[in-house]
Amino acid sequence: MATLKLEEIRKSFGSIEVIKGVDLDVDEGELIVFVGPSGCGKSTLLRIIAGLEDTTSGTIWIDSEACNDKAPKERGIAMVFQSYALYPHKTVYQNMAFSLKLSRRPKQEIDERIREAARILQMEHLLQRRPHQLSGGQRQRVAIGRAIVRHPKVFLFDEPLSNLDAALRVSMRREIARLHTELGSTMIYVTHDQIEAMTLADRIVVLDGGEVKQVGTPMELYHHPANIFVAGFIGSPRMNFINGRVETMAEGRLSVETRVFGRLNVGLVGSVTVSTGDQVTIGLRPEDCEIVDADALPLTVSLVERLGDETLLEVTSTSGEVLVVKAPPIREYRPGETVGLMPRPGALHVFDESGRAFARAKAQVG
Amino acid sequence: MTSAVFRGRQRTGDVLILLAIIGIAVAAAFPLVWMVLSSLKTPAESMQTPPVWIPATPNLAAYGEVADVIDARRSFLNSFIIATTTTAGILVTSLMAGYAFAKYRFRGRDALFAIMIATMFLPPIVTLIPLYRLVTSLGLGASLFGVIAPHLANAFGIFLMRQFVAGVPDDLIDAARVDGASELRIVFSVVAPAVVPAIAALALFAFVYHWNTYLWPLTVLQGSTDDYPIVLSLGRLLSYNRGAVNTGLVMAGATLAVLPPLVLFVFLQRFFVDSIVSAGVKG
Repeated sequence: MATLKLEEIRKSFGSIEVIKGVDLDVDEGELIVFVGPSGCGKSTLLRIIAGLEDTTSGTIWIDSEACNDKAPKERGIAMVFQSYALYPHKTVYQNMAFSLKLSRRPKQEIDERIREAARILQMEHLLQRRPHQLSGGQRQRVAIGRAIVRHPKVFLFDEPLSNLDAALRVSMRREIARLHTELGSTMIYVTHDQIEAMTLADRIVVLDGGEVKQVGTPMELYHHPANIFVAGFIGSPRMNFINGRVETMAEGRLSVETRVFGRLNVGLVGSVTVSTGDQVTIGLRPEDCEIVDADALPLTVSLVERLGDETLLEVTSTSGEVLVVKAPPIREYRPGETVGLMPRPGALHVFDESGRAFARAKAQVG
Repeated sequence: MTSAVFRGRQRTGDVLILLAIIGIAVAAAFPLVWMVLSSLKTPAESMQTPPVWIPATPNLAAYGEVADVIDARRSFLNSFIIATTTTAGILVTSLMAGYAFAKYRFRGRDALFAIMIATMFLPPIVTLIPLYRLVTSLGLGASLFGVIAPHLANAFGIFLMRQFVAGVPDDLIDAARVDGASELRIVFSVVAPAVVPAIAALALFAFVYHWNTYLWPLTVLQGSTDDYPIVLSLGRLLSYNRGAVNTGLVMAGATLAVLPPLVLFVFLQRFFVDSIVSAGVKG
């Protein structure tokens, strides 16, 4: 177990800056997930921590030791790759033994460590097979086993479940969560899948364009996104965004005129730097509104997606704005019918013109 | 077109292709077969017109005579030293340089690679004299090492390896780095096993080429017959008997000389077939 600290990390490829000054403190035994869209720099940041990429500037500290000039093997890290990266000509046993042999560990210790990792991952029966004789899930398990045997200070996972099918992904996700509980190690996990991020992380780091957009627990990010990017990225289906104009503002209360819902009253906390007439964006999660009978501002159902336990409706307002809402499955909806929507009180998010969120009441933080 | 007609035309096409393949195979094998048959003929049968195809009583006398005329054991040993050392050198340098060209990012990499490729298009005869002068000025003239040294690295080998190593996933190399492997260890323990078919192909090309090479050893060895490889010693079989060519003797020598590369080919052919089959399975 170790702490990890990133200080003003920057990385450029030629004239293109891909990591733009990232700061992060990771506590001992914490599971941190880097999440963000393709090309946001999350894998590059992981490779920088691993020592597979140099930094342009900034310092990486592992257990209070600056690691910038250390080779990957000297950093006490182990990494699990998206492509598994198993040595195809070696057996599972040899794959797991490779790093220990290189560090000249006694044969008996190597054997003990491999048997222990195999027991933890329930793959004792696979040790003499070669990678091509394994299924995708088994290969990923071996890749994790290869990391475990090294007893690293920090585990690094680079989108480890992306190549697996949906069902296997869920079971491997649980396995990684179990592993984290069992080993108690510090782990950094990269994914573009926000469900993986929400379910695994102690804290999530949301990255976009090489910058950290927000760091927080999954529920902090869900209930209190710091900006419109995080609000849109966390949560599935994504949050609906509606344009609005500030009508009136009083202490802790904002009245916003929208074309979809008419006037909306939003309760906020802290000081709000906004004036009457300013453009704002209202955020509303699909699960945060109730479907009612069509009223003065009807919405037309344009798409119905039945998921079994719930139904997703895509509805279009008379002004052409499209919203996605979650409806209970009890009622059948059909494209073309009109419905009304009522946002749940206290569920609205407000963002200023630059995309920054206004603070909401903290009651919902889990 | 009905499927029956289509099948019929396809069948005719297949037969024509098969006939062409047989024709080419016969043409390619003919000199080899003729060489072996001639080595088993008596001197009289060798000189007969029209030629005798199959010897009446095949005999191995010519093979025994080869050993009387040249020191065949020594010549084979020289050939073996030249071909194996050069091949080993080419494999090591090609793999290392190919890895660097394929996986390292460094300034001037592409220009350097282009210059190296350009050397592949120089006819060997152009470099013969400068190379000879270089080797003799280093004091390596008339020695086996002089024959071997300039050929320990080879542009074609580096090119071939670069192409294959480029196909080795970067993740595999990064995994080895995280596991604590040095760059040399990565080349020989991780990259090399992943490009075995290319190594086999290069080994075969290099071995056959340097087993058969004639002009360069002839130039460097400067008549030092003790160091002659078998190909140069065959020349001595030709000039034996003061110009009266003993065909059976020469053919027996040639048959012996061709055996090692042939055996190597039979052995390494498996790797080519394997690589083709696995490529097909992976799609």
